Amino acid sequence: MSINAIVWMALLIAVFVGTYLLNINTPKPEGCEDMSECSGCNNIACSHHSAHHEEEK
Amino acid sequence: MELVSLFIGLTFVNNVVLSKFYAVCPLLGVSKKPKNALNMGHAVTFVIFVASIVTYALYHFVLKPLEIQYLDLITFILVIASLVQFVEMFLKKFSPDIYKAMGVYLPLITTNCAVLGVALDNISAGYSFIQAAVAGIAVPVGFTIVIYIYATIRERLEIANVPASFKGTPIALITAGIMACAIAGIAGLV
Repeated sequence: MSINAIVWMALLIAVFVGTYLLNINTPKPEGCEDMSECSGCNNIACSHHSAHHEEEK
Repeated sequence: MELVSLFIGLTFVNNVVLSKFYAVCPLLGVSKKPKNALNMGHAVTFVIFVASIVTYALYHFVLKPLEIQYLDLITFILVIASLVQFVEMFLKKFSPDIYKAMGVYLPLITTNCAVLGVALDNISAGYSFIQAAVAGIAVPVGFTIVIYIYATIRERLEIANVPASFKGTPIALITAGIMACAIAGIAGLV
């Protein structure tokens, strides 16, 4: 693996981590605080499924 | 004319869902209500168009000159994941209405293999920049049309008199199969 490849991968990972941190630290708009609940499908393994939110309540 | 036939071809004849079987997961998962299906279609359209242009530029202006084309797959995955994070952050900050409308579907696009599929197909098919941009619109438009029609059919299937053993996923898959046959029939027209 060339040095170019290593530098490129490090850059891409840094960009992803950067955008992730920026996104997670950006406050959600009013009225959108808890929008992770979804009833689109029946996959209860998904963390967005309504069943998980009912447990929390 | 060439771009028009490319658009029609990618939207209908080589439909990403019904002929290549990409994005079957959201097709089955987010097609219970037509409104949800349409929201998913809008979000996917935006992300595929931007991802298509960005990945094309990165491949031809970064990976090729550095002779690291073998990193295209991992590059595209990380770029698409970063892009979705960035779009989510941008919408939170500047367009709360669109953010609210897209809701949970925006982060779920990261797992939609059609986004990665289009980026890789653009490279393997040897498209020019304009062709890649047209593909970036045509493919998600085809996806949106199919997922919306499928959602309306599934809504009717809920009240249809279906044999017990076919209820739910089996009849949904049979419906998708019949739709794929119908789409394949358009091939002779273009």
